[in-house]
Amino acid sequence: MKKEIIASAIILFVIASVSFVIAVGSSSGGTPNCQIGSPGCPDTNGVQVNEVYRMCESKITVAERIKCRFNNKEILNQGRDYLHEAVEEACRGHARAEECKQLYRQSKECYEIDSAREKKRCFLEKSGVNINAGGTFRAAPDDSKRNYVVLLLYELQERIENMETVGTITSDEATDLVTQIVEIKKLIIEGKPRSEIIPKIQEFKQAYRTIVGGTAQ
Amino acid sequence: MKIIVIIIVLAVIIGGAAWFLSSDNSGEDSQTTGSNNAGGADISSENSRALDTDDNVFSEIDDALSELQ
Repeated sequence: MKKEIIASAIILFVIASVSFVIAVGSSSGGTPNCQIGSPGCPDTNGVQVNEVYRMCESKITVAERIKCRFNNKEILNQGRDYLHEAVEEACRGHARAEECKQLYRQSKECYEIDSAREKKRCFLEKSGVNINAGGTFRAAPDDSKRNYVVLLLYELQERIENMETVGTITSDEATDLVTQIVEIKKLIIEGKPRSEIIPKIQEFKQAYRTIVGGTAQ
Repeated sequence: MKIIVIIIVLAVIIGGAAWFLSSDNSGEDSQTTGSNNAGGADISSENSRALDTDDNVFSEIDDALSELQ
């Protein structure tokens, strides 16, 4: 009887342990990236991620920095988790930088969603539109509406970056479009009036239509 | 024999609880999404446009901008 109890206790322990291991394994996000700015990032062809990061950051204009990142993305991607927060140009140089960074942090998960409808819901939720309580976009605060447009523009930016990666457009073309997006996002985040934003959007659409195609009007 | 069966059942329950408690945010995310689905079928710009094409994203931007003050 005593043996049975001991054997059962061992079985119990093993089953519980295996469950924990499987559970922890399944919830892991994968291998952590190196942290740019800290020592220990691996070399790629003898070039340190840190060095490339600093080189791109040292460029004076937004377009130069974006171009530099496109041209060195294989190396910089080693630090992509850090970069996601570190290099968001739209959050730089204005009074609402912290809110901007927070919006990007909170919405990061939305960009992992494949379903176009679910992604939209995620954008709305992270923008602060009260969709769970049946709220409408129209009734949402102005800041939430602005956040939503910023996230939509970032979605286009992601698509442009993917097009550059697969070679549909060149890095120069991608730089041009992304630089325009950054400029518009800044205007929106800074609370500039519609009258100032709309012409920039029209200009961007024109460039997008010329470079990528489509019927954006 | 009875004790073994009871202990195995307990082990399964504890293992299941461990799995549930240690699960990552994806569970929470799917719950959140579920609640969104329940409450937000008619959202944003009062339409249900999906962001599947670039043109739709542009249209959504236009609609959202038109609501700005």
